[in-house]
Amino acid sequence: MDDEEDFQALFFIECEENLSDLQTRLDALLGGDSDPETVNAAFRAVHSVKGGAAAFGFMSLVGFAHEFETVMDRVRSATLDLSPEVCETLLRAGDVMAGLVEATRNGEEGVTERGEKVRQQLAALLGVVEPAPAATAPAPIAAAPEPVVEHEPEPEAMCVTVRLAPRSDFLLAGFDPARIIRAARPHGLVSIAVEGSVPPIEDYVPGDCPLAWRMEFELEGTLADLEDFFATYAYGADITVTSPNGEAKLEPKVGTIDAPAPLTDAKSAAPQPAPAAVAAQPDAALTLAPISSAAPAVAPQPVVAPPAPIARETPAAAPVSPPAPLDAPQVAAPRKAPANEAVVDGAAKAASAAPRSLRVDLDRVDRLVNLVGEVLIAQAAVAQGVGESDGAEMAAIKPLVETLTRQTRELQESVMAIRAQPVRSVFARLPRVVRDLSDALGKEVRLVMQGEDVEVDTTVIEELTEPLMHMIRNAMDHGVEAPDVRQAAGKPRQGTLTLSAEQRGGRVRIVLSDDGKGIDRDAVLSKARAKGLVAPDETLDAAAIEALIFHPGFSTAETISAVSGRGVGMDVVRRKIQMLSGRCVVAGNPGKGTTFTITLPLTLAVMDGMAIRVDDQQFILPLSSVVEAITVEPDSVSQLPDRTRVLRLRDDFLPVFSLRTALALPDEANGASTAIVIDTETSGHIVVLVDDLLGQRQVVLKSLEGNVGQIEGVGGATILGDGKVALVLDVAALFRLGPKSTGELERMH
Amino acid sequence: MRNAGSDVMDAPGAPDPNAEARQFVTFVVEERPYGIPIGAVREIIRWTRVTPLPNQPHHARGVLNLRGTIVPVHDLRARLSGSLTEATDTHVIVIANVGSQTLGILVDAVSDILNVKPDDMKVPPQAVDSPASQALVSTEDDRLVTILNLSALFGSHSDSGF
Repeated sequence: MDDEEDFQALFFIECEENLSDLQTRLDALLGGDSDPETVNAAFRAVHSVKGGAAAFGFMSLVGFAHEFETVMDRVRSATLDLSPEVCETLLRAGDVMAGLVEATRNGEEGVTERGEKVRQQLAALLGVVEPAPAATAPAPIAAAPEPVVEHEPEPEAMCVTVRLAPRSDFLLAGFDPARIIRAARPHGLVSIAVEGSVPPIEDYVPGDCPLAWRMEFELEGTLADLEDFFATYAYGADITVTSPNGEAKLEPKVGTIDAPAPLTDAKSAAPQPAPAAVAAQPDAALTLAPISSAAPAVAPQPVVAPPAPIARETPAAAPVSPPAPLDAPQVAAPRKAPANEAVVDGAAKAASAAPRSLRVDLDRVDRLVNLVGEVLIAQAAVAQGVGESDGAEMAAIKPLVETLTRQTRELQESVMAIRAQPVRSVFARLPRVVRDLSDALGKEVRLVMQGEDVEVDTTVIEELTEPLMHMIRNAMDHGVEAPDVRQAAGKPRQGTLTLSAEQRGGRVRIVLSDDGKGIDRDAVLSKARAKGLVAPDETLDAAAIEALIFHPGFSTAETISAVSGRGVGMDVVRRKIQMLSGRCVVAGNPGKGTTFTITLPLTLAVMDGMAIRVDDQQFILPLSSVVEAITVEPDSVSQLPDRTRVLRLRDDFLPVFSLRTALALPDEANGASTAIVIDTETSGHIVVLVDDLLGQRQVVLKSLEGNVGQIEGVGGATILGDGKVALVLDVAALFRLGPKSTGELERMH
Repeated sequence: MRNAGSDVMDAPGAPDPNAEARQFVTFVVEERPYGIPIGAVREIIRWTRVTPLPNQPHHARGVLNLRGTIVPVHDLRARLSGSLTEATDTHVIVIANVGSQTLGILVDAVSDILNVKPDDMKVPPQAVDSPASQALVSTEDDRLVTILNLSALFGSHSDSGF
């Protein structure tokens, strides 16, 4: 069934979001955050995964999530102390659940060995705090065909009747009676009857479900299981369970007091069984808003289900809220950008502050970005044309062109903002990598992250994951020492990796530092000599030696480990970063640690640049690196013995760098008098001699990658108003290359 | 964007009418004829000033803007014999697809389209150790046309990509 597959895909997307949210929350908890809302949010994330998994019958996932959820619940109700050990277990459980989701997505079932171990740890947590005999074993899981955990004995097949009467918002909330019935089968569904009738079409209210279902079960699990299963749906339907124990009206499970799902969910995520309901969507989404915001105002109701099992799911400390009508735990779980705290801040707040979000295919946004790029080029051409001509008509047009320029710029910024994402989405995956590697390498490593809120273009985010993972692997494999070694060196047994992001002008700077052994320069140098990368008599300074680790094929690991050190190490990282018009440098401190610094543009599409002229060519310098423009007096430049020229600017001596020389253009006889001070980020400020300053402009970056290849010193190209190509110079890279390599027949690979 | 021209490979004209014959666009550099498969040719434009690139082989003349795509232009004469072409308005740039790359080749002039039967295509003698020539074709007027291997000549960077 296609729909089924669509919904599954949706489920997995939401799983990812939930898992990433969970990760964030758990990390916060580990970091000492004791806000109950953080615990609640983590709980909800687990619960949403469980709910969705149950709807699709992913039993291993449900089983694990359930246990996880139960422990989270204990934490939430404060019957379980959130000690660092518990936190650690929860984090690992989060990893296992992520692994399970991945496995389930690949069509596998069953819990891995590690998963089983973590599950036992979870169970142990429950065992310790649970005085009640009924719950020494964790609660039975929902909808399990075969019990994954022990459950109370249920000697005879009990006959139970469940009446499911959807309320008006049932279908809109994303529930599908057919799916529920299918999912209920493993509980021993023996017969089913439909009550009610569909009214004539003129009276029919789309979205309403006039029917009710009466399902008879010869119970195959426990009654608690069954009630647990149906409780999920009690948000949108009146569910009555008639068993030998009596009749009970089910209340929604306490675990799902989520914020009302954002409206977009009902639109895009809801499985729609009835065509009528589909037709009703747009209106319904609007009219439902007041309902959802009103819901939290109703006084909390106590749990009414008499049989104990339900109550067991419901800690007395947490009163059950009335059902939030739009909340659909199975597939329409609250969908939110990780940064949107407002959604998870509890039902009451979220009702008023729920952000409206829209899921848009990235391709569409890209098309928009490209179009805006073309508009920018056209606009630049108009501006240039108007600027160059004079006359009375032009004078009238000029202010209009200025307005156009301003508005194009605003347009471009708005479009780029759509694509911006906090780096959190990359960072959030890393603690797990660190934990996995800690286990694999037998090292104890803590990852400290800062600046997760820095926003970067989606493309940059996507491309950043791989290099970051690689760098972390490298730092953990080669940087951080084994605990015993660290202790002997007088360091704490646990190593620390610090990962931070900060925005600097138009670039984002990401720094990864470890407190490991640093780079063994002698080993690097001798290895490089052995490999013929460095001539035997050549002497290199510390920075140059350290930079050797970026050389393709260079790896100092004595043994090739599974983690890193296959010789495809840091050069891949650097190449990837360079492809993003970024730079990557390393600074080691022997015995103390290593710091990798990556600087990347915030966006890869549009850039503010300073147009300059050298010889008869126009170039663009990224405005973010431009510090100031100065006029160079010939006598303010002096030459050092090594022929480096320096310029005295106020109290500093800055190296002077001629673009003519760097670009192998003919020297100008009378000497350049205009210069720009550039911040190279890595080598301080330098003075760059140019022939002329043409002014500031916004340029659309075109990659040279595809047809030309990577050229050191050139960050990209742009098309000027006259249709000519202008190169965007990466002055810092040119400067690092030095004059000696210019003109050489060299390409970067 | 960069693959925009790859469909040209199958554009009308490329499919061989009598199953076996192949078509080559031939052009002249220093009065010697060269050819490349017609399917690889995307378009032919008049020489226009290009933007030079730093740190490049000397035969790389620079880049030009082909309707929004940045395309590198290589000087075939410089690549083959070492001396740069003094390009004028009569020189042309053959825009060709090499793998996923689009590049321009600066030549003196484009001559015509050559229909070649497989039998007429000869492997260059082994003593000619040039990566540039894929095959030699002798035409009816007894001229020898060298079929160029563009990716060996210019398509270097894409090999080491990710």
